[in-house]
Amino acid sequence: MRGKFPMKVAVGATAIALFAAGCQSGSEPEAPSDGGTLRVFATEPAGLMTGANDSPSIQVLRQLYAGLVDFDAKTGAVKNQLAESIESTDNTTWTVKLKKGYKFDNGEDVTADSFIDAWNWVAYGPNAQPNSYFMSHIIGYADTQSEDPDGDGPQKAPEPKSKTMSGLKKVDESTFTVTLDRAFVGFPATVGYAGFYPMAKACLADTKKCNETPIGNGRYKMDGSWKHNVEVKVVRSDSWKGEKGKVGSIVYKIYDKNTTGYADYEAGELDIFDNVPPAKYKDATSLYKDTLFEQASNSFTYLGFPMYDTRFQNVKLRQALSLAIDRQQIIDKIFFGRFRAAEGFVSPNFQGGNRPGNCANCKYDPTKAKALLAEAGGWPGGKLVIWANAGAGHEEWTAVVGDQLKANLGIDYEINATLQFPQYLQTADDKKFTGLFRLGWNPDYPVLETYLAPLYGTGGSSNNSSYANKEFDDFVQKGNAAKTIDEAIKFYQQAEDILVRDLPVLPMWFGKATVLYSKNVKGIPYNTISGVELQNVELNK
Amino acid sequence: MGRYVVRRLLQFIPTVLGTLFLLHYLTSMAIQFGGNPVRSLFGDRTPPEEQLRQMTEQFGLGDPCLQQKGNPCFGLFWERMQDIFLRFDFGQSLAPRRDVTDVLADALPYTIKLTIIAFIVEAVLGLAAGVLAGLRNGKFSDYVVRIVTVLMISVPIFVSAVLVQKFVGVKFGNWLRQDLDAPEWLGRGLFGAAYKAEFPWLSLILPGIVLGMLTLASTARLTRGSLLENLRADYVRTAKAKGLTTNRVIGVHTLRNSLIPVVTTLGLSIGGYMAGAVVTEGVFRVPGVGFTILKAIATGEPMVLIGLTTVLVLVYLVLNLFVDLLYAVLDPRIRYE
Repeated sequence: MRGKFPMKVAVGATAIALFAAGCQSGSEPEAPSDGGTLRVFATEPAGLMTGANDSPSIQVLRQLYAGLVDFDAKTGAVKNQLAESIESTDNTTWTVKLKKGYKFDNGEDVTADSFIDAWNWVAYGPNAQPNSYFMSHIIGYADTQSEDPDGDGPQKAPEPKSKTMSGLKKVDESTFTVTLDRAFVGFPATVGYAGFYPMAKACLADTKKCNETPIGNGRYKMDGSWKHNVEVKVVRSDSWKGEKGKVGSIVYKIYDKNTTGYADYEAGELDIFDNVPPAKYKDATSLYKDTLFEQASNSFTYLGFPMYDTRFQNVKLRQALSLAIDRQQIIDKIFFGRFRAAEGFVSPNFQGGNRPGNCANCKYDPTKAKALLAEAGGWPGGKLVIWANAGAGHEEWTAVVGDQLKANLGIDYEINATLQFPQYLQTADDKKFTGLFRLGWNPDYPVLETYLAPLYGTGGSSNNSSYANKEFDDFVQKGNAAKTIDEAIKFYQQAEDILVRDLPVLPMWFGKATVLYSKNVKGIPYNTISGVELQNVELNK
Repeated sequence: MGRYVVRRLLQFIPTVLGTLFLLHYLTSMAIQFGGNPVRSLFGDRTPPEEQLRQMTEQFGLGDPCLQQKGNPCFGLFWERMQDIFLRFDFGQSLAPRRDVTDVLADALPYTIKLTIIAFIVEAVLGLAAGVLAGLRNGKFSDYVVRIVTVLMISVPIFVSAVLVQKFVGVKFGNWLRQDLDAPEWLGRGLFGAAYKAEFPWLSLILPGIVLGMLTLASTARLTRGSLLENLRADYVRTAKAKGLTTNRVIGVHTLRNSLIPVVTTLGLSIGGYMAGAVVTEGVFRVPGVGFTILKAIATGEPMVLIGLTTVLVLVYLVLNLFVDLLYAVLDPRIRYE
C-alpha cells in the first residue's frame, strides 16, 4: 500500500494539471498577432527559378513572386496585379504598363527590364528551363534555341543565334511591348503563370545562388535558403506594398512520400495536406470529414484515340465507345468519388467552361452505343488494346473500362500497362499507340484555349491523337483574334462543340483537390485557378 | 601490416570499378528500355524536340548508345569514370538541378547521424542482451532474449518501419501530445512520426532504433553463442581454477575472445545500414543517402545513383578493412604481414 501512495499523488497532480490546462484552453484562443506559421505539405521543388514548371516549385514561387496579373478566386477572371494595363489593338502586339513602386526583396525596383530579362532567360535554350516553351509564341523565340548540327548525336550543340527575343521591346522604365507570332486574346491571362514572373538583376547575375535563395518581389520572402529535402521557409516581406498575406510565415515541409506526409498530418505536424494517398482516401474522408476540403480541380484525364490508326477514324465507332462507358460508376466504385465525371473537354472552373450536359456523347447510354456501333459497321475485329503507363495504378480502372466495353458492345480488350512513364510518353510522341491510351492534361493558363489548341489543333504540340479538323482550328483562331475574352469564349465553346461531336479523345474525368487541414486552420481559401491560397489561410493560434 | 594495407587498398580499385560498371550498365539499360527520364519532366506536354534534346545533353544522357537496347555503353562508362575520378565531377541531378556532389554533401550528415544511433542501439543493446542470455543460459531471461530476437529477425524492416511509425509515432505520440500535454521534445521530437529539422537528433532516434533492430538481434544471438562456447573453453576453466574473480574471468578473458565474430557483424552491419536506410529514411522522411537513392531510382537518374553508390561502396570497403585490422588488436594470434 505504501509503495503505491506516491503514484496516487502523481495521478492527482496530473489530474489537477490537466484540469487547469482544460480551463485555459476553454477560453477563446487568440489569433496570433503575427499571423502565425502555416505548415504545408510539399514535395521537393525542381527549382526555385521562374523557369520551373512543376507544381511543388510553383506552389512556392507563387508566394515569393508577384506577376503582372492574378486571378479572381471565384470566377477565375484576370485581375491586374503589377500591371497597370495590358492592352492591344490587334491581339498581336501587347503593350504592358507597370504600376510604380514595387520592389524586389533586395531593394531593386521592378521595371520593364525585370520582366524582359527574366523572360529571355527562361526562353534561352542552354538554360534548359522547362518553362521555355511558354515563350514560344513570342517573336524571336526560335533564335534563342540552338540547332542540332547533325540531326542527332553527341556533338556539342552550337550557341543559339541570340540571347534575347526580338519580340520583347522596352519602351521606358515601366512600359514594354510584347509581339506574338499570332493574335491571341488570352495573352493577359497567360502572364499570370509562374513562368512569366519578373526576376531581379542580382538574381540573373548568379542564378545558381538565386535558385537556392530566390530574390522575390511578392508577399513573402525567403527565410534562410532552401533546405533541400527538408523545408523551404518564407516570411512576410516588408517590401511588398500590395495586400499583405494573412499568415506570418509559411513552412513548406518537404516529403518524398505522401504516406509519410499523411502520417505526419495525423501526428499533427501539418496544417495543410493536399496529397492524400489514393489508398487512404476512403479512410481520410471519413476520419477527418470535419477538416476536409474538396473542390473540383482542373486536371483532366482522357482516353485518347490513335486517329493515325484507320480503325479509329470512324466517328460513329468513337461515339459508340464513349457512350458505352459508365464514368460515374468507375469513379464511385474504384476511386470512391475522388474525381468528377467529365461533362466536356474543358474545366468547368474556367470562364465559359461550365456547361453541364453539353457533352451528349459523354453520357452513359449503352442502347444508343450499340445502335451506333451497328451503324459504324461493327468493331473491325481483333482485341481493343487499352494503354496506360506502368506502376501508376491505372491497371484497375482501365480494366473496368474494358469490361464495360465488352459487356455493352461485345468488344474484347487487352490492357497494356507495361511501359514506364518516359517510354510511354515517347510512344505518345512517336504516335505508336495501337488502341485507346490514357493521358492527362493540366491547363497552362486560365483561357479555354489551353484545353483546345495544344491537344486537338492541327499539329498541336500535344495533339497525341493526331486529330485534324479545319473547322475546329478556325473557331479557335476566331476566338484567339476576338476583341474581348467574352467574345472569344463563344468561339471556343463552338470549337468544343465540334470536339463533342468528333470525340478525338474520350473525356473521362476532372480531378478533385482534396485538402486536409488541421484544427488550427479556420478554413481553406481556394482559388479555382491556382488552388489553395496559402497566404489567405487564417490560423486560430 | 603496411604492405597488407596497401595490398588491400589496391584491391579496392577493381571492386569499385566493377560495382560502378554494373550500376552503369543497369542504369543505362533502364534508359534503353524505360525511356529518357528527361522526357518525363514534361509529363503530358510534348516538349519541343529541340528543347528536349538540349536538356538531355546537359544531363549527360545524350549519348546515342542509350538508345540501343542492350548496348553496354563502354564509351560512356569510360567518360563517366574520368569525370568522377579525374575531375571529381559527379554530374547533375535532374530535379532539382544540382551538382551531385552537393546532393551528396547534403545527404551524408543525416545518414551518418542515423548510422551512429543505429550502431549504438545495436552495439549496446545487442551486446548487453547477448551477454545476459549467455550468462543465464537456459533461464528465463535467456528465453526472453531468444524469443524477442527471433521476432526482430523475422519482421522485415519495411514492415517494422511502417508499424512503428503508425503505432509509436502517430497513435502513441498523439496520446502523449494531446492527452498528456507532453513537452515538445518528448511528444514531437522523440515520438514524432517523421524527421523534424527542429529536433535534429531526437527525431532520428525512432528511425535509428528501427534501423538497428534487425542487426541488434543477430548481434545478440552471436554474442550469446560465442560466449557460451568460450565459457566452456579450457582456458576459462584454468582461469577459474587459478582463483581469478568471476568479473575478471568473464570481463577480460571470455568476453574479449567472444567478441571477435561479433566485431565482424558490427562492422559489416554499418554497411547493412546503408541498405536499410533506403527503407527507413524513406518511411521517416530522413533526407539522407537512402532517401536520395530511393528518389533517384524513382525518377531514373543515373548520375545520382552512380555518384551516391560510389561513396557507399567506398565506405563499405574501408569499414571492411578496418574490421579486418581490428582482429589483430583483439586476437594476438592474428598477424598481418
